[in-house]
Amino acid sequence: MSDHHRHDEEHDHHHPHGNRPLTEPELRVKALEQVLTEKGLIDTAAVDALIETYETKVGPHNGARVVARAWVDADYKRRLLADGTKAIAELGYSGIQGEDMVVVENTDTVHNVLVCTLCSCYPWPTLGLPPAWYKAAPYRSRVIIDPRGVLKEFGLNLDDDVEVRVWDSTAELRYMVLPQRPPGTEKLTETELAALVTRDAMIGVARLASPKR
Amino acid sequence: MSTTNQAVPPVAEIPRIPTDANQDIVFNFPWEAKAFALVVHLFQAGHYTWAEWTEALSAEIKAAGAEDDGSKYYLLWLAAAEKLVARKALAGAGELRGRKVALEMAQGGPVEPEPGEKKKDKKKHGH
Repeated sequence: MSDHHRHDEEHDHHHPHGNRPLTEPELRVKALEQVLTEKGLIDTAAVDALIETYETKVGPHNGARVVARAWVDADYKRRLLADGTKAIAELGYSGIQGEDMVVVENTDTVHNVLVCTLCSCYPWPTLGLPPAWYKAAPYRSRVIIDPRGVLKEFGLNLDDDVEVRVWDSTAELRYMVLPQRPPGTEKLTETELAALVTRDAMIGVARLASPKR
Repeated sequence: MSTTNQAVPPVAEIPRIPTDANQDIVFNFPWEAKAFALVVHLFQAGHYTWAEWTEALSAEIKAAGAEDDGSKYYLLWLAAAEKLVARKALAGAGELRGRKVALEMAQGGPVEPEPGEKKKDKKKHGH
């Protein structure tokens, strides 16, 4: 599966999901990055590591609030699963580039996991910035072929009777996983619940543990 | 894989940077995070001091004056970065502009201001 990614993007179509041209500031940032990289002034891995640092610091607060609301409010959950974009917008978050959000629910029998096989589309208004592994070729190609094996590497062992569904993002559609509410959280407030929700659980590579007491 | 970087400067030392209630930095677009990381990376590599960077950024913020309600923060950040790398002879202003125009042409010409607008195929770009 190595034909996913093309390296000659200058001569090819620009981006596998390339129906959205880069905006003015995106072009300027890309120009800055390219010119500095060509001069050997930039270590791309270090730049990615910095983004990763801030990504984990910033954290997926928005998505966590959406999840917690769905756990405590059955009506909200219904709206969320019916029309993710609209329900997420109710809480004041939106996909600024106009992608539609689809929320997929984990249950005892279904486990959902997200990927973008072509590049690294990611629901960043709700989940923040994508982790480096999400953007890396191994995850993108392997999670489609062997989702259970990949999830195992993340420390998530699913029973054989749990169906795994892999959702591949596109330019128009971004997915987010609604994780299962962990047991032992009946007395927690919505804010406390939101604090339990991790980014990895909303990507679908982790399950949420019960709070330690 | 990660290098032995100087610590990232504390948030409090970055002029007016948008943060959330937890004092965590907030990015509204991926390019903002990239612009942020490029500036911090060049600082960590020793191409300028943090004081030089905050001066450059503050100058942009000051120049924008009342116009800036915070929504343009990373545009100011980017403008400050472009000027500082030129001043430090890391990348010339013309070089950056030329590359930006080349990238723009490669994707079919100047971008329409409306993000929702679908690409129109026969738009004339006289050049």
